[in-house]
Amino acid sequence: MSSLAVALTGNPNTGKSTIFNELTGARQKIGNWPGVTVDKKIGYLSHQGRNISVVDLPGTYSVNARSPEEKIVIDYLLNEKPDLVVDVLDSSNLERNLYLTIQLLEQGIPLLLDLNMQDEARRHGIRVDTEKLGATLGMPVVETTARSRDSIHTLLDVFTSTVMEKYQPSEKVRAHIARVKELCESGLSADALEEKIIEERYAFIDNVVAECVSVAGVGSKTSEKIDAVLANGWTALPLFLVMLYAVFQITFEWIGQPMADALDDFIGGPLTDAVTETLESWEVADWMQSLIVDGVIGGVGGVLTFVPLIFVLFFCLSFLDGTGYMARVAFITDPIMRRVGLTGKGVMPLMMGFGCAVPAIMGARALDSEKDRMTSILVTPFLTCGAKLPIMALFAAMFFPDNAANVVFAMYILGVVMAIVAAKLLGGTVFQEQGSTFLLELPPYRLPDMKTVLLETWDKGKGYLIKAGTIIFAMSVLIWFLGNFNFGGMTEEMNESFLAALGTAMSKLFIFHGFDTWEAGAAVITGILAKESVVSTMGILYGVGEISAEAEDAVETAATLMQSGMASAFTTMSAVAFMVFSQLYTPCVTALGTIKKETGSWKWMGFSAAYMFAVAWLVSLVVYQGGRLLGF
Amino acid sequence: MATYILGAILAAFLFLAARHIYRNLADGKHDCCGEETNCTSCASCPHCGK
Amino acid sequence: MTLREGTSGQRFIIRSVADSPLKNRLMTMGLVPGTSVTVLRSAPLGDPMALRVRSYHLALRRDDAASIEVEAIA
Repeated sequence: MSSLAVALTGNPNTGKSTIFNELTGARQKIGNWPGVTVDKKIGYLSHQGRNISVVDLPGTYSVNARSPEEKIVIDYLLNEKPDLVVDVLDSSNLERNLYLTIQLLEQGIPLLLDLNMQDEARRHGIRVDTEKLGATLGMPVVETTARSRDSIHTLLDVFTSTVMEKYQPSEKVRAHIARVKELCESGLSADALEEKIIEERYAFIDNVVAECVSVAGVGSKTSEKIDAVLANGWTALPLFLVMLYAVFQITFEWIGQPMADALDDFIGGPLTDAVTETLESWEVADWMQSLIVDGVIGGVGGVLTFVPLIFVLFFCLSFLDGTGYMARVAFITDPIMRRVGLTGKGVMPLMMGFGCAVPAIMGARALDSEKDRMTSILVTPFLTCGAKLPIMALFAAMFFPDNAANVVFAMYILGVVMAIVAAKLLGGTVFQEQGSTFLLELPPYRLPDMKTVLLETWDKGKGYLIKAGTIIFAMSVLIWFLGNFNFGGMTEEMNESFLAALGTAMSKLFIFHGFDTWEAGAAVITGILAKESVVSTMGILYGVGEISAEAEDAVETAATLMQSGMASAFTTMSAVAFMVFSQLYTPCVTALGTIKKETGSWKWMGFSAAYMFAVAWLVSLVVYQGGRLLGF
Repeated sequence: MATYILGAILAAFLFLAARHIYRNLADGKHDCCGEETNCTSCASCPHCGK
Repeated sequence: MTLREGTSGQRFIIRSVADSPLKNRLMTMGLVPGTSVTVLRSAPLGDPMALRVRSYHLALRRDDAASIEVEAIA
């Protein structure tokens, strides 16, 4: 039997992605649509002996070809002509969902209508007459509740059994299309015409809904009750902070950190010991032993230790995202964001900055005005991305063993505050005032689909693993080489190495910051290539991994670390200053490259690198000297 | 002997890593957080979140 | 009056949508003349506002809501 090409289309927040993930699981490929950096997700499966490919088209409210995503949807449907176009509809919100449906029908695209979230609609007291809807539009209709296995099976059966050629738009749809055509030929101006057509479409929809949908009683108002607490004028912002705080407790205290500690013990202990013994027994040269144990295990291992933290953090953020809470975050922070010259919608790219600045910088494209976009690009790198997380976690665990989660949380807040301050300053000086808007759907609260959350967590977290195996690995070997060689060849004294020379030069900048050691200077330099390198450099130079191996638990680890070279190189105050500096200074080269690409100018890239370094230098100086004045 | 074998293995890994980094640079790709977002809601999506 | 002055709990019928860069998007999202909207609540400091329109919820800044001419209904 021939293979079947299926395309999923529909509004955002209709459970389309959940259906896609349930259908295809992990068997999906992510590519790019030609010319734009919008995800093209294709999944493959087979059912009843037929191979099925499923394309998840971007969720859109309409297809006006004005935005790149809308253009992708309509171009794909018209040019690629998939065998089956599934229009996923949120049954509890048919009125707006049908807008896309009628627009697609106007284009002559036959649709399989998928009335999704039936369970939710029933809870709201909404009943959709499936058969009548099918008859009214002349298209086949199937009912699903995205998360049930049965639904997905039904859907697959429908995929393989439906022959779209059998369906013709109903009389009603054809009459609507005729009216639209008439309007097009009436000689109205382009704007007036579009308005008339939109009104015509909604008139059609109102008619369909009146026939096919019945609303019994008031139904459930769960989302409104939750919003009364989470999105009102008074408790919303404090509760947002509580929510963020909880995420950090989970990541850095309750779940993520214990796992990271266990991994650290394993890498520093049994693994290092076993490798050392094996290398000894093979009679491997000393320098090679040092390269493998101190360089590769110390560097890459030091970064891998933090993988559990990254995954737990991404899991929490993806979970929150799936509940629909992030839209509320945009809503309740808009008053603040607007006052600093951004918009609440800018919070979403910023929150992505907790993962990595690169997609966050690209995400700024979704912002409406050029000023919002530029400001967002230039302030996003202040946030604590996944690669800076290990720096914060390492220093916090070492110098504040009793208070690690709180110290890390404070660093995250510092990043956010600096981003906001910088946005205000840039907005007032560099970019002139432009109007910005805010129009956002607040989707109903939902318990997120676990499969979708896990897939998303994996998708975001795996980049960290790939980086550890490639750039961090290469950097570790390089750092080891620079740390063990000088012009005279290999040296026993790291203090006389290339790295020491480079680090010493850099450290001159930090004589008033309390961390003017060459090791810190070297870490700052390597951190520009990739922020994880700060930790791997420390790991290689101070042998953090080896020392922590002797400890049994976190407290003991910290205690042993206190005796290590790293602990004596920093005072509590200079450690804080170093964390502050690492938090704020020049973005990594990948992020700088993205800034260049997104702003289209070397000037902005250079500006970003320079002003962030200056801000970091200044703020950490103030923190260090201020702290000393206060007697810390 | 083992030193040379390990050296060769490390060199091979280094080559693969360097090639990966070079290709990323050449294609303008990056490893962080997947290629793009895998948005569960429109709100989180940088493209449709408008 | 315009939707800008709407307070929590009030219901309105949309009379017209004035020209603005946002007009097309507002209408596409279902804010067409004749549609009823309910103001649900406001964000901290009173702006933006959350609306119920066509069985879903939409957040909108008051400055943008000023382009929507409405009539209060009981």
